[in-house]
This record gives sequence, structure tokens and C-alpha cells, in this order.
Amino acid sequence: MQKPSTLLRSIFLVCLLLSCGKSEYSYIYREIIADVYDKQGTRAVDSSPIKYPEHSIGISMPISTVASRMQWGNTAYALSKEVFASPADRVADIRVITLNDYNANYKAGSNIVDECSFLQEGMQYTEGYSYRGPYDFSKVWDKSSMIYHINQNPMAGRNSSVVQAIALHIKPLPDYNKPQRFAIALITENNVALIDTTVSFIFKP
Amino acid sequence: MSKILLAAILLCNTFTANAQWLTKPKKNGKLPVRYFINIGGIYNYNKPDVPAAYSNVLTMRDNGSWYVGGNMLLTPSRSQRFLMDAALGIKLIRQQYSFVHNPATNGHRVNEQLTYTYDDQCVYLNIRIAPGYSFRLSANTRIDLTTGLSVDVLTNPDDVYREKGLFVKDGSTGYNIMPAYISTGNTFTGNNTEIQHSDVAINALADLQVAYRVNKVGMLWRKRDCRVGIGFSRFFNGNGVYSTSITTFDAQRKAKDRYWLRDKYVSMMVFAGITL
Repeated sequence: MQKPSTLLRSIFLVCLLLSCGKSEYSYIYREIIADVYDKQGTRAVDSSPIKYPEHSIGISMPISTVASRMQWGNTAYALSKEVFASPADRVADIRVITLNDYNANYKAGSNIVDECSFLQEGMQYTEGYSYRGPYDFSKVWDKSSMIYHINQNPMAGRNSSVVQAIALHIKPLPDYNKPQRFAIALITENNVALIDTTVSFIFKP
Repeated sequence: MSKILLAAILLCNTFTANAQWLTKPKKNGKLPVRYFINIGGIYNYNKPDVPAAYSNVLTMRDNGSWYVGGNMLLTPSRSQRFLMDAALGIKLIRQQYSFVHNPATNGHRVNEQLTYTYDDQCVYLNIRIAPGYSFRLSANTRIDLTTGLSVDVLTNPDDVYREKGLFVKDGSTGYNIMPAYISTGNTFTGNNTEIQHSDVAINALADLQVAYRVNKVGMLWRKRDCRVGIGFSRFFNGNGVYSTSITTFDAQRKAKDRYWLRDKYVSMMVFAGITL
């Protein structure tokens, strides 16, 4: 028969060895894909008309996992583990560049990101994919809030809560019935530019 | 780190709490245990750690390292032929690897070969349990042959862990590119395509030691036992070997190739020790 103190020591030792910390994986945005949508989520094709009040530019941002680590954390005696996602190359800036003259104030080559509203609703995320839902145009973020939201470390299952799609709405009125096209750029903290351009489309009132 | 040390102390405490026989003389009046303090130099042979297919991309240097520790040599039988060696020590293992990559091969507009070299110092708490046989050469000289398991517990996982994107300026755009991403640590899973590193690294090594022991040598104010020897060890089983995973990316940041290395802890140690 073991002495109680020996038994207690053994139990304590087993608990210590079984205790789990947190698990963290790091990811990068591998590319972006920019498309123009109407309010129903229909994607614009080349030269197609879009009603200006209902437009949004959707940016898909698929990720790649680059590192994974299980840490010996402070959650002693916990038999479950927490999973955190951490960006390995954080987004530092978003740019929306007009490739054609947008209106009298914003000529081709202008960065109009400060005139954009970022839509926070309507994003649906699943394992490795994102798809679009109807946007709530009454709930919007500015650029800095959007970047903060993208970079925060979510605690969740694998890939499920990492921001992999955002959308924006351009606030100034455009020149109608003229071809419009935009380049969307995500600039990371290490000065890497992830760039894509939309199709050419036409704004209708 | 503190938990690992606490666990080790508790483990030792549990095993030795009732071991009064260690200090009880045998019938011939001798104690059945000798306490040695040892120092050693370790040569780590790292060529098997990198798959041959990566030899032009990833290389790992052989390195010298250090060991210091104490051991108990238990000789419970009267003839002292059979013995048990139990040791507790600290191993400093240096790991050094280089990665050579030309981003142009993956479609980047940077046409230069890049070389990255990294250096890590792993500090292990080493526990060795090895039974053996002692060959008598003369009244006071013996050859001790012991073989068993040696357990390495990593004590500085934060120092060893590294995540690093490799960035190079693309002169044509002024922006940087990321041709590769490096992740170094102690492997938790055995899957080479997606390595998960762990802060808890406990590895068992198969271990063989041969020592030449001289008893009753006048040294440091009284007669002591001395020994010199050579040891060999290799990874046997465990949950955290030193490893590196490198993923290269194309211009769209899609993963192209993955290279990895994993230490097999093939090493040779030369050591010397005296009784306390």
C-alpha cells in the first residue's frame, strides 16, 4: 500500500504532465481577389452596370498557415487547449486606387480609401473559404477599425474566425455611365503589397 | 520551465524517498554507491538530420557541445560486476543550420541567391538510467560498460523557438517580397508537411557508455575514484526533437516547396569524472 503522501505526489505529477497550454498558429494572407457586387451579392462581370447605392467591392483574402506552436501555458491542470490564430505579417494599410477618373475630384490614380466605408456584416466564414451574404449598409467601419479587426488574434478553431473577406462601399458620388475600375492593395507591416484589380464596370444611378 | 524542473524534482523525490539502502554499507564494509561529478564534450553528428534531397538547400553543421552532471554508480553485488548508472546533468547542444534559396525559381523578380544562417543553443536536463557490467582489469581498475536510456528535457523552449518570414526588396516595385518562411522549434507532431512545435520537449535517447575507472587515486586531499570514458547516443523516442520547417512561396504567396530538418541526436561524448 502506497503512503498517502506518495500517492498525492504521483497524482500531482500526472496532472502536471497532462496540463495543457495554449496552441497558436500563424498565418499569412497569400493573395487577394477583388470583385464588385450588387446588394443581392451578384458579382459584376466586365462592363456590366451596377446601381451605385447598392454597390460593394468585396475583397477575398485566403490564408496560408505558416507555423504552429503548442505553448506550455499557465493553464495548469487544464485538459483542454485553447487555439489562437496570429497573423505573421500584419496588415498595415489598405489602398483603393482609381484606375479611371472616378469623378471631378478623384482622377485616375487617386487613393480614395478614406472615402470608403468598410462593411462589417454579411461575411460568412467556413473552413478555408468565405462567401458573401447581404450587407448591412447601416453598420460600417472606417479603415483603421477594419485593419484592427483584421489583425486581432482570434481565439477559435482552426482558420474559422480569421478575417478572410472584407467589403467596402465608396461614399462619394461617381460619374455615372462611365467605365470604372479600381486597384485594391493591402500593404503589410513588412512592406509587402498584395494587389488585385476589379473588372471594369459602369455605375448607374 | 519551472514546471519542468518541479516535475523532475518530484520524480526524483518519489523514487528516492525511501532509499536508505543507498547509504547502508554492504557486508564488506563498502558503500554500494559511488557519487561522481562529470564533465564532458559532445560531438553532434548532424548529417542524417537533413533529407538527402535537400542537400543543396538546407544544411546542418556538426557541432561540439558540453555536458556537466553528477552520477550515482550503484554496485549492489559483492563482486561489483553488475552495476547501475543513474545520472542527472545539463547538456548544452548547439544547433546551426543554413538555408540557401533563389527566389527567381518561384517566379519572383529578385535574381540573387539568398543565404540565411541560424544558430540555437538548446539546454537540456539530462537523466540517464543504464544498467551495465564491470570488467575487472586489476585490483583498482575496471572497465564499466553501461547501456540504457537517457532522457533529455528541454529547458529553454522560448530561446529555441523561431518564426521568421524572409523578406527581400523587389527593386522593380519598391515593395518587399516574402520568398520563404522559417519555423524552428521542437517538433510535436511527426507529420513533415505540417510541423507543430511544442514547448514541452522530452526525448528518450538510446545510450551506450564505456568508462575506464580507477579506484582509490590520491587526489584533492584524499583518495577518490576517477573515470574517463566515451559515450554514444541516438534518438529513440520522444515528443520534441529540434526541427525546422521552411516553406517557399511564389509571387502570389502560394506555398511552393517545403523543406525540413529534424535532429536525430546522433552524438558521441567524451567525459571524465571523480567521486565527491
